[in-house]
Amino acid sequence: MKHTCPVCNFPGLTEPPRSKSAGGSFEICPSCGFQFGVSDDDRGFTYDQWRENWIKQGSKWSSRAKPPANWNAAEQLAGRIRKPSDKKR
Amino acid sequence: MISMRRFGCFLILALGLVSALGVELVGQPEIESSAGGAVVRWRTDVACGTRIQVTPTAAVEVEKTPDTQHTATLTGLQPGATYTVVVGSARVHLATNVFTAPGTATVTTTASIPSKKDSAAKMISSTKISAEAKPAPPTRKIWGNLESLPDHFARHGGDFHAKDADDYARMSWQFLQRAKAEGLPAKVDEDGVLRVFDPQSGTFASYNRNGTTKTFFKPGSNGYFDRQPGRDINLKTWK
Repeated sequence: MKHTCPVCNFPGLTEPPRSKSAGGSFEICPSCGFQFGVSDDDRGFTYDQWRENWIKQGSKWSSRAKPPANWNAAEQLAGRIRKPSDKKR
Repeated sequence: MISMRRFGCFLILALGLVSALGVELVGQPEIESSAGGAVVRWRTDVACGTRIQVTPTAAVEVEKTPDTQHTATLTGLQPGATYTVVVGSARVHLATNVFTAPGTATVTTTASIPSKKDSAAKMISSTKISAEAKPAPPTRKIWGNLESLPDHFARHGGDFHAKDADDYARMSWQFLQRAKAEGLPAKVDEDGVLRVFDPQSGTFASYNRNGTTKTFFKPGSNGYFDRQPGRDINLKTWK
């Protein structure tokens, strides 16, 4: 089962960003580069701050791995906006 | 005659005290292992007592006289078992090595070397030594999500001067072996995720229930490990 990144709306995370115990998954989103439990709990970024910075820097694919075919950051972000159930930090 | 003996005792005690406070490791310990046994050798810049801690327990013989050349002979080792040896003087821990006897490989050793100028300061370095030792398992058996390893290495490999992703993954495995041997602070959460921290070097790692690594880095914020979820566990006895 895949999970959606609460920062950039990438739908391919391998784990929920937060576990039942509220700990970070330590997964690095391959799309925006946010590391759950590190970018926030150690570096102090909120999801909104990271998203804003990522967009300012061109919304580039973050991972060394190749992006999915036809990956499009703008469409991905737009998809997030259409999901009112998403929680913001 | 009596006063000379007293003076001699005082001199030995004084030299021992000075040595213990200022001792530094010279080079890296060497381990030669053979069937059922091993010899560990190391050098210090000043004469001091020879201390070695072996986990799991093994029979150990060391020289009693303070010296700069130190030799410890280990016997009764179980073939194929992994041992952690901590070498040092009576007062300070100088280096930790992990090896398995018998076998031939290169292992990474984390050496914790006290500064001579400031006994409270610690210099942490990772050094490769050749030893009769079991190598770490292959990366695919160490790292939980292999696709993510290059990203973790790119972000955190510099914390440990890892030369490549495999080196970084191997260090994370060796950190867990050392953490278990030394009983470093650790927590496990309700999903079985293990979190380990070394306060001395500031190293943090998290492992899946099956022992594979989730991440390995040095946090920059104070109290990071304290804020992590989970119950405290004793890694020496935790299964």
